[in-house]
Amino acid sequence: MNTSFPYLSRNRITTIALVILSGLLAIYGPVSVTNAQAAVDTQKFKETKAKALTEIERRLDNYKKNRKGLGVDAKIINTYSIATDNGEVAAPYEGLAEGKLKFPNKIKEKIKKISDIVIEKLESLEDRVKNTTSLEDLDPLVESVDEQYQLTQLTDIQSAVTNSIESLSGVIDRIQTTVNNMRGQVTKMQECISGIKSDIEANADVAVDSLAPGCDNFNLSSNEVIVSAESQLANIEAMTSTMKSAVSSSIYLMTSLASTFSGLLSKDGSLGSLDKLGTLLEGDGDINTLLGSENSKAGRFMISFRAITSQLGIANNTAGNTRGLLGNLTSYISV
Amino acid sequence: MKQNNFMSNRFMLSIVGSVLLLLTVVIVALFALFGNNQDDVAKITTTNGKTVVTKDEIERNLSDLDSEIENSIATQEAAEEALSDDSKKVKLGS
Repeated sequence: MNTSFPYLSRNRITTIALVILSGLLAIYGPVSVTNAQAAVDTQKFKETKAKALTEIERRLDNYKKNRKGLGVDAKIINTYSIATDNGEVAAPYEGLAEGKLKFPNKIKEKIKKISDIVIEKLESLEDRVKNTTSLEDLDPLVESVDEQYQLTQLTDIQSAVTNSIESLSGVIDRIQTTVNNMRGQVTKMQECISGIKSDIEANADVAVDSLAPGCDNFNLSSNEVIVSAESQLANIEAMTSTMKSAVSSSIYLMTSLASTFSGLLSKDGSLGSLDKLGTLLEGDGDINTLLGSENSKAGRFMISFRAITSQLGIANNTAGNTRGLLGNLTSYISV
Repeated sequence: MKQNNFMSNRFMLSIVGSVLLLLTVVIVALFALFGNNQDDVAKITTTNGKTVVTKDEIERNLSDLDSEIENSIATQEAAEEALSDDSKKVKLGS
């Protein structure tokens, strides 16, 4: 009795322990699996949310920077006879019609408005992402961040290219003003040296200024100086003319692209409203259908924007070279 | 006695002040009349009546042009960056 009881008891205890263990496994097994899944989900939620917020902030930084640039208007004072590459005289757009290399205000306002809507909607999306507490809530928002990229990026490119065109218009205008001012100096030097040289030589004892007012301080050492200055001015004017063509054709193309783009963003295709843009960015509507695949509308917009930017790059290089020549010309000026 | 000294100091100070004021007025008047050579030069005209702009003004044009070219290159680079942004974009969904 004394020996069998503990033996039986051990067996019984083992059986009971196994039963309890099985019970515990049955109860807590799925719970621990669920807990492990929950931990994975929480980690994924945190990572996706952080990535989404970083991406949204990155886009917002870019969009705001280019939008800020649109707030500055280039001051254009000179007027030109503007012709496009194919020889047609510019006319239909305000600015160019005035003979100024000026981006049309009406189109610029539309570009600003599109950019404002995109920034506003993206900020609202950012707030919604910040307020999510579960992966379930986050997933559709993340999908929206991915989906709207093509559309919002096109609007940013549109703003950036417009800024670039406007800046270059300002550069050309300043070059033109400087050339005009230098031309005045060279003309005066020419007048002084050709018209009064003999008078000055014949009246060596008379002050130059009394013979030719304003000529006494000019560099009248030789006619070659004038010829060289004239030739350099002619080169600069030819280079400026090339830049003007590049900018005027860029303004044309950009105006046309911006009009087409605005038309896509309004429900009735008109330029007056951008009612479709807001709803598309709120996830109501299919952006892919609007812009199509790479070879479709978005692709064509990108090709045109690239062409304009490349043309502006060449014109910027020419502007740098022109600046160098203008700097050389100042050595002829003494007054 | 103290009162007299005080009065005399005040009198001296007012004289010095008046002299300084007068000197300032004279200097300003002289500068206005003879000091501003730039205006005289700017009045030089060509035979067709166009005013010849001074070298100083042209150098200011060039200085403005430098900063405008710098800005123009920066905006063009920003446009290129925007065009190649696709490579920087992070795809979030699966």
